[in-house]
Amino acid sequence: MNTLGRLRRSPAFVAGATLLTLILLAALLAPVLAPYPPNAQNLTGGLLPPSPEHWFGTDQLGRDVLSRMLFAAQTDLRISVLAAVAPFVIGVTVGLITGYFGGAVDWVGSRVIDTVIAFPFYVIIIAIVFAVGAGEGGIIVAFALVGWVGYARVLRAMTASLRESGWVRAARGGGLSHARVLLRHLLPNVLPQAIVLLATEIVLIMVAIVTLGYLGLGIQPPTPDWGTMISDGQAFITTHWWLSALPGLAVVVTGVSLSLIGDGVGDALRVGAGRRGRSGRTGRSGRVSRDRGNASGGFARVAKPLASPQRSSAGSGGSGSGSGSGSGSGSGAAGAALRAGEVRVRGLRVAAEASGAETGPALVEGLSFEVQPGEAVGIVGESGSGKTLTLRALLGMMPVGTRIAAGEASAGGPVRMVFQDPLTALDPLTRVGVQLREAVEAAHDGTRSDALRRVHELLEQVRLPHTERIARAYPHQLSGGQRQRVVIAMALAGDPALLLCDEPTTALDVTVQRSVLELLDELRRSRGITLVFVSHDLAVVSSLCDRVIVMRGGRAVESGDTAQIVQSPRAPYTRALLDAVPALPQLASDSRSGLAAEPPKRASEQSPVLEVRSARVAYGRTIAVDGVSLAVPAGGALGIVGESGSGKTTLARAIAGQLPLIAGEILLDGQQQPTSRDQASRRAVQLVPQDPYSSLDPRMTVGQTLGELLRAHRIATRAAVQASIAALLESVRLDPALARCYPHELSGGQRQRVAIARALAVEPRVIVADEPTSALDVSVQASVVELLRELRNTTGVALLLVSHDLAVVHELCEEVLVMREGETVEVGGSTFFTEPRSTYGRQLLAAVPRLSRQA
Amino acid sequence: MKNDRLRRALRAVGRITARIVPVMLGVVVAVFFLLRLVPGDPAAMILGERATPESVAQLRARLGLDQPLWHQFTDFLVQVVTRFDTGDSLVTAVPTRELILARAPVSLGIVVFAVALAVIIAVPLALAAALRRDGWVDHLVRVLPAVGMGMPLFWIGLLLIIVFGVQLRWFPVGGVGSGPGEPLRSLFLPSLAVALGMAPPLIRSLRAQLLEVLSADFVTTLRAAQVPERRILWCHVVRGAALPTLTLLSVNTAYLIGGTLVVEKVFGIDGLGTLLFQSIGSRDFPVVQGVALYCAVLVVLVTTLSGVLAALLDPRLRVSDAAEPARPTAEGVAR
Repeated sequence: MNTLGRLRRSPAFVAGATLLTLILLAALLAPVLAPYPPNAQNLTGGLLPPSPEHWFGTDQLGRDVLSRMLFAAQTDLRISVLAAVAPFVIGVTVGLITGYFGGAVDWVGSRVIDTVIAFPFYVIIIAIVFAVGAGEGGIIVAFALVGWVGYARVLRAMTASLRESGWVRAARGGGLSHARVLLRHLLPNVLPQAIVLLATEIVLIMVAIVTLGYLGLGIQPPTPDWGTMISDGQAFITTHWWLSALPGLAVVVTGVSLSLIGDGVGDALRVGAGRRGRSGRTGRSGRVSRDRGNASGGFARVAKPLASPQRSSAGSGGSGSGSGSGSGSGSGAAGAALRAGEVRVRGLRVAAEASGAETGPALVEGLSFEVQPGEAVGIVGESGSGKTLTLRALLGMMPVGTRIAAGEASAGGPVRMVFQDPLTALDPLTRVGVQLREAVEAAHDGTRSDALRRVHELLEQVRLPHTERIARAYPHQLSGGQRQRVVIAMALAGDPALLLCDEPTTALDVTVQRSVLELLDELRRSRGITLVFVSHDLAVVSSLCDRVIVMRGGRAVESGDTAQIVQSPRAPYTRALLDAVPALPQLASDSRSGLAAEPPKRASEQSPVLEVRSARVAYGRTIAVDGVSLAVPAGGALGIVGESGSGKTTLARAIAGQLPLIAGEILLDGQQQPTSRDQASRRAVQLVPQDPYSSLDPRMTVGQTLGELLRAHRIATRAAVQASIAALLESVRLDPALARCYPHELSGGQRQRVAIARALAVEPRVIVADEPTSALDVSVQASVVELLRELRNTTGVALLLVSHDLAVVHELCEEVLVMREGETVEVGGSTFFTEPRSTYGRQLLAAVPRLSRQA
Repeated sequence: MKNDRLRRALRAVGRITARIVPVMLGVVVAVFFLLRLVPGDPAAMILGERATPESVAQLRARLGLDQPLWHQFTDFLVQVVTRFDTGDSLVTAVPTRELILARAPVSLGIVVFAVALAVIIAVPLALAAALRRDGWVDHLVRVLPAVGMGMPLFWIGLLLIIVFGVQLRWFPVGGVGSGPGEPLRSLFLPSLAVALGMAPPLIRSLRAQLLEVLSADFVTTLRAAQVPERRILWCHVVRGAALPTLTLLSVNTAYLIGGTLVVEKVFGIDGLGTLLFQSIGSRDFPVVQGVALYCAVLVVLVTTLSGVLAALLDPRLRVSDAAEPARPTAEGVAR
């Protein structure tokens, strides 16, 4: 186990463990080490100062202070450990049970926790010890009654959040019992946190025991105890201060050693700490929040001091007050002066900042390109291609942990940027208008009322209605699209000659994406702003940009005119990328022909394997799904599409039996399903969750995850389990050797394949896949789609695919259900993609950016 | 419109009540059963070994111990709810409520003083640590919690007495003096002891909050818009970290009160703590129950109030009036 190895490498743990060992040795060897018996009085030699005979002096009864301290260590440490056991066991149990079951159990548990927490720790401990009786027994009872809340509170919250994670849902969906999920899956994942808490709780308990001793309620004299020693010494504090100070110091040193051990254990027990990969669609804007550790020591690379951001060699710095108004005076330091809006990148090399002065691996290498004023250039690549870093280099603000190692990235005139995630790009506590005003004031001198007028102009320019109301709103009161428009307005406030866009529409719904792209295009054309647009989506880029640069692994693979790249790519990688993009057929141009199209005939006359009749499902307090019906024939595939808030995921979870129906019914093979299903029908419907990073238990290997299900359902005999695991992995095109890997050692695509293998392990009739590809890169996405198609053919399992991505649904499904705000908009066969019958269906299809390859 | 606002306010009050009532009831139950934790007969325990059977029976009647348990509890509950009292002191025959209210101001004074001192200590240190990562303040701040946690509060108090009272003679070593400014001077060291006890966790989490906000995406947005760093720091980062700090302070109320009670004993201040320890010495059960009850009720009230305050200060927790709130995006925004 490499936890031990990591412990040995943790300086905090080594220091703490060494110190504690010394203290424990001193305590255990007290009878040998102590120069005098602890209670040997010498009334003539009382209150002696420190001397060679009595290193720490003697107390008022002439007892040797050092000897008493050593014996006191024995008592205090022993009782601390004894008193720590019961709270740990009670707290972990209560936390797991209340967090896992929720509902009434949780309500009762939480109220009890609230009640105990309402009492000041010392008050309740003192009162209980008083009632039960001072001394060892009273102390242990008091901590058993009070000390568990610390664990219960933390573990309850952890368990409740884990309960919602993909792998716990999958474990329940796989038909494992509550007890098994609690003990095998949840307990191992919360135990490290409980152990870290244990280290701090022991310190608290020790300090409390000493405090009780000081108050005369703890260990009773004449047994030596640090607390009573301090208390006895207080009477002589003006003359013999060391009598109180030294035993206190012993408490502090013991406390420090235990705290250090707690910190070290906390760091070491985190599985795959800091090694978590990034998903394809999110978290790419240079944020590091994904791989941040805990509060104690994990902030290694979070934030730079608030010094002014590093500037690139030209352009953006100091051009605030309207200097970049087209005079062609880029304040460039390197090379010839750039015209406003001109971009020059030459031999750019961005490197990770390794610890110390040395340079880490190159993230962008030898990148060169130029952009003329008013041009729109797209940079396309998958995650890790270095496209976002290139933008940040042009902006002059490198993400923490990276730096420009060589080359030039410069632009003429003011540079501004639009970021990927509009949910986090605005300060949640400040009104939108104020943030916008700050951006205006940063760029222009002028009066407050000038700035306010400009704010409203900007909001109008980004086509936001009711500018007064929007300006007064807080970010959370706006929709994703509205927020992204505000972010664009903030960028426009600086009158940029160059606008950098980092996946500005990736987090948005397809219809919203369409309108934001149109806005950017219009701004570029009407104001002559140069656009550098980064995206993983070739289709999005091709709809907006004149030229495209394809990047991979930090290098430019190919660049050229958009049309040329899309229609006749030269580089094999570009071709592979293009092939991987799922294509939608062209919409029939006449909307009327769609209305005339036949409703899809039922795929087969045979009874469907899965049928949903007028289902109504609540998510929280809102009705998320209202009166939706569908049917999937055996071996068939139905796609559920819709934008965010359409209720498609809620419906999927209800079908998988994870959410109850308010009304309507779900039938499996014609059998109506009750709210709590039996094991067999739970097995029959398997959910493949969306996020590959939370879909697998981080503390189980791939083999253990699969083997557990095989054994629990007696699908394979004990001897055949290994062979079955290998067969399952091969069926999802994975190397059987991966069975020994933990999830954090796998890529996103591999994890998603394992999640599919886990669903297949229990031999289901229906697989419900919730956005199985949306977190993956295009090329990986294509191979997962291919895998799902194959599995349908080979196993005959029916597929229910939930996706916002119409192209993926088109590839995999012969029937489509379009949802909007919880209701069915349209049900159609494959003709939906060319001739949708509903206006909304047509809007959706029209909004999907397409590659004009055949054109 | 006005009607709507009233209804919303009423609903908020209803929610808060629904949260408080069970906890308050739980507190009363816990305090009630405190007496029943006593092994054997509480009356015999209170009176000690030399008690006669008659005096024990008398005390049992006085404490209501001869009644059925259910009766005892309802009587206790009625007493607490209607008179905020847990019975008369067995020693002085004065109602517990009066004993407590007479001493509460001193203890509350220390609590408030300690909070102020803790904030004065913690905020600059946390700022310095967060802004100069890996600077010497940062290293100090990261070591502090490990040291601070192992320090018994009463021992910090004793050290302060040794240094500032005995050696430097800047402050009195105990008691509360009278005269202009004297109470403040007498309460300084006890409050400082409590403040030093709670400062390390406060600094630690404030630093973590600041770093969290500093690394937030919106800071990048503001920087990219070239909003001055000073403005970003004071108007966005510090404000973003202030709210969680308020919550943290309220979470620490229980610790504060408990610490204050212990520290009173060190400095010989006649507050609630001294009352508690005296009552324990004289086995004055109703007073011990009363102190525990009042402390717990105070904690519940402070936590609730600060929750309301946080909700008023955080626009995300406020009921929106500008536009329809965005739907919670359970999907689409891949995460």
